[in-house]
Amino acid sequence: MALSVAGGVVFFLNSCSTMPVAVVAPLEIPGAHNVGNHVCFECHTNIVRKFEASPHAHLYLENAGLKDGTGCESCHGPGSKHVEAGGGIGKFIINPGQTPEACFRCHLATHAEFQLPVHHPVVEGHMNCVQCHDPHGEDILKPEGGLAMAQLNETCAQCHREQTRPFVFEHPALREGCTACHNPHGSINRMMLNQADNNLCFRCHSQVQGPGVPRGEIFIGKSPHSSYLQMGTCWASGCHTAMHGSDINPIFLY
Amino acid sequence: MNPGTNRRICGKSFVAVFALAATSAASAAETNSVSPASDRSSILFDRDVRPIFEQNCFRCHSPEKPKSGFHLDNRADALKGGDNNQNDIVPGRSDQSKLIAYVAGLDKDIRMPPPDHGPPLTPAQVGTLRTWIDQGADWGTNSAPAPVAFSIEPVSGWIGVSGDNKKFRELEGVQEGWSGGANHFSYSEQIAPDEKLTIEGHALVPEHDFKVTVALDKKDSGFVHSGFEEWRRYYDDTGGYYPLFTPSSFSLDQNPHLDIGRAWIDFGLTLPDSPQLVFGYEYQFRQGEKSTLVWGTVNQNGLPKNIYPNIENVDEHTHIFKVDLTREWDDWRIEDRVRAEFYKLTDQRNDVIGYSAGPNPDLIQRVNQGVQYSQGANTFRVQKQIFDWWSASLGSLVSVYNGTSSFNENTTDGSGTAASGSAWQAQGITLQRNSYIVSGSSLFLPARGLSVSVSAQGEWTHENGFGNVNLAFYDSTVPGYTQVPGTENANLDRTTSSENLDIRFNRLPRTVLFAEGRMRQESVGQSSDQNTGGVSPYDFQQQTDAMNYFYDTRAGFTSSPRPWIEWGGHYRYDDSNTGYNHLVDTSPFGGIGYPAFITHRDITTDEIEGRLVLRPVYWLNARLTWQWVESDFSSTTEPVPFGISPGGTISDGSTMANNFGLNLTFTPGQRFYCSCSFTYGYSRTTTAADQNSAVVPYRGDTYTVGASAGYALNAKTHLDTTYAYSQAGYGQNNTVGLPLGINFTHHDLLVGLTRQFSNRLSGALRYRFSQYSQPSNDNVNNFTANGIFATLNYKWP
Repeated sequence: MALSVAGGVVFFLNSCSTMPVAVVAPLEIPGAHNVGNHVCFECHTNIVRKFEASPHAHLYLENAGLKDGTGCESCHGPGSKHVEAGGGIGKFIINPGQTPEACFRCHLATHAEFQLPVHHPVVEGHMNCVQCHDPHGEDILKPEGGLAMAQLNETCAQCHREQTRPFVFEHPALREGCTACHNPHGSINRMMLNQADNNLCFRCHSQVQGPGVPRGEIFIGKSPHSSYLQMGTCWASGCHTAMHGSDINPIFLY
Repeated sequence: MNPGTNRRICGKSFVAVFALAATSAASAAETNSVSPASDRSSILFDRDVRPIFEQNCFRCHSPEKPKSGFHLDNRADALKGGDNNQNDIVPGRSDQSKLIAYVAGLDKDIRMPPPDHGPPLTPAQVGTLRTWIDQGADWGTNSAPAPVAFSIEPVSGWIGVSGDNKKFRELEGVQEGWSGGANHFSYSEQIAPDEKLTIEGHALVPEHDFKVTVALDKKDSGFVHSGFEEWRRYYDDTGGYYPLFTPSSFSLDQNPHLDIGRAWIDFGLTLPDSPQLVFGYEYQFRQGEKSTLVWGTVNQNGLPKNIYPNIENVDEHTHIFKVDLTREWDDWRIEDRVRAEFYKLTDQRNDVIGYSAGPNPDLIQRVNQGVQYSQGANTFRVQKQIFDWWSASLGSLVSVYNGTSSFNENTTDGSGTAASGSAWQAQGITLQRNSYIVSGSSLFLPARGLSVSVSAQGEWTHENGFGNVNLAFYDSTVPGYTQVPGTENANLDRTTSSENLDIRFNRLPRTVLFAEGRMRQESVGQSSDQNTGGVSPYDFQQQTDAMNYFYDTRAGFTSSPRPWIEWGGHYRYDDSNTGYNHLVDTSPFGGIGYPAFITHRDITTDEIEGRLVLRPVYWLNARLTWQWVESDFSSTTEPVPFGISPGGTISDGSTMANNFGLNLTFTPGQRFYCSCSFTYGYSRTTTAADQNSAVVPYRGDTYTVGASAGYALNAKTHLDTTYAYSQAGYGQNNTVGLPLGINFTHHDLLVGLTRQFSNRLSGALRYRFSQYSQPSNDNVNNFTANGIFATLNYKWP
């Protein structure tokens, strides 16, 4: 589907005739020029007010003369025509909440993660950055709205209810957040895992092996695991398949 | 505004300058009744008046947030006047119209635009407005409903794939073969000056990629917004890979995919000077099959390896009802959001626990799970700009969750006949969670260029889950069936307090300095048990108190000494330190260590980020980024007797990543555009288990390239191309365990030609090439794809 016009060129996100790659283009609105945050304040008062507390404000260089600006217009494009048109959603203004190109202009590494084989469908247009990040708010790692700070895993729980629900036996790793094991933007590994092998689990489940442990063996807790580790991953069939928590087994066999 | 429009306005206005200069001079002294001496027959709203409004008035008097309640975007509202006057515009009588008095500086108390909002109107512009009002304040085309507009972009295409078509579907999100539909369609109609209907969306088959939104808006009254969207996620059905097996990997020969979608409708009330209310309903669903990583055991040559693929059937439905209230007045803002959510999930998967000669697995554990819950939540937030230098907000959240879950497992052979194995069951497990949160935040601007943001949040959560289980051996139809009934119970109380502090200082020349700190203290009291009377080896009772201290600090700067250069960076350090006090830890069989085993955990992370942005000439923008991040993990565990472990502290492992990025964007002219991004990343994870030959370090490189270019051959023909490349080298030479890291190379190319046939009709022809190779699993997932697509785009008017 056609998404945006930048520099007079029409770019596309994914459809059957295109490919899942978002194009990083200058945020140009033909005929428009920068007006500055103080003008945006006239209508978007609350957003501009709270923006001072946002990590994005760390980039806001007033009067530095940068062509692309570093305030509102560095993400929304030059605003003069939007102002002249009397405002309005999508009227001569770029909405990064709809398309990710504005975010990718700065977040090159994140853009690259979305190019990896397993990624959330942002460049395909089924999701957008603002679903998980509040670009204007104090806590950028939370969805827009809600409280001053995020509830743990709140962002992921919007969609992944199955994994973030209460369990009889919880996996304490979830207290460190979903990102302890997953890269939420994209990964080379299935399920967006940070590592594809058992190193992922051993970052927490290591212990000093005692003199009673035979050479080549490895104990986890009180159980020898070497033969299991030779078979494959910790979360494979017959082992700890319920990694997010279980309602029937305290060591997450199911 | 384009230069042409500017020239036309200047030309027209010039006629009125002399008349108005004289008029203004005279009227400024004593009267506003002087008639403008301009050419009345030549004033047109769109050509002459609207540009003046756009430049000087709409900023404050547009529908977004009209100052004094005065709209200037349509005639009806403009003639109503604002909160203070009903005679801002009196058609035919500019001498009685307050608007003229304000813009001409004839009112001692009010001048428009206000002095701090822009320069006063020129005498020529004032004259134009007077003439326009005296002519009747006609609104031109804007006074009548806009004509109906619609557009549609049909597309048809074909993709041919050689190689693994399921991997192609997973990576590219589309199927091979013919496809088509509408890339985009839209219809809008200005039903009345203040009412608008908008319909837009897309529909593509056979991808099940549908979206349609219908919006009906009436200004200062309300809206009805509704829609439906659905898309399909494909999965490869290949499991793991072991090079010494024949075959070295397996495929289920299925086409697993999930259909994901939602439908919604919102009713909104947007009456002026009243709270904005939105009542909504949303239905979300996920249905279909997805691949899982719960791979089954394949036995060959006396070696068991977990590589047999597995698919999970998912049927998930969520109904959400919502009420949102927002009220803004003066410096206050209040938000209240109410949500009621009803959720139902059933899923089923077949875990192969034995596969030898095939073609069917020898033994399968069939797992069925179900979850239902209802959850109610309310968030409330109030914000107030107390002084110019101090704004504050308070918020709360109350959430109540009540659910049940079920679990059924049985063991069969490959033909589905009941076989020896476990047959665990749990029906009606109760799950509850109540959360209460309060938060407060303040933003202070104590001095020019200095901002200080402080916030704190407290959270109390209680969770419990309980029910009856039957950890039976064998299926009830198999001799030897043994019931193992039992109970389970778990309670968790969590108290969390968080504090944030952010400081930003920008008084240094063209530089911002910032520092931020985040702290969290979390106390968890947890008790859980499972009791089958000592029959199950998993019987246990545990009571643990845990205390976590987390802090995260970051400091950095951004600077732009010249307009063509910007650079900045930050250093970050965080530490998560948790102590566990196991008050009760009993098990009739001595237990297996977990869950009550770790007594202390510490995770530290260092991060440095830097960036350099250069724009040496107007047509070139270069951005260079670098990030280094390293995390170290350590644990302390309890001792295990018989020399298994003395306990104590161990460095579990560390992860390190180094990422570089470069983006170059060329825009040398209107006809050519090119952007190219390159990233390189190296990362490694090593753990204490790497001493074991079954687990080897996980490390490798990742490269990505994303490039796009567009060139206008002429005013009607345009060429564009996009190329994406990614490569990873995380392959592992591990035959004692499984080689789970992957090496792959992926190319994607799209070349297109777009032709504008007329003002309303354009068409495009595109070619697409895609190639993927994954040598780390013996190339079984390799594919090459070619596709061609034709699109038309028609818009009216």
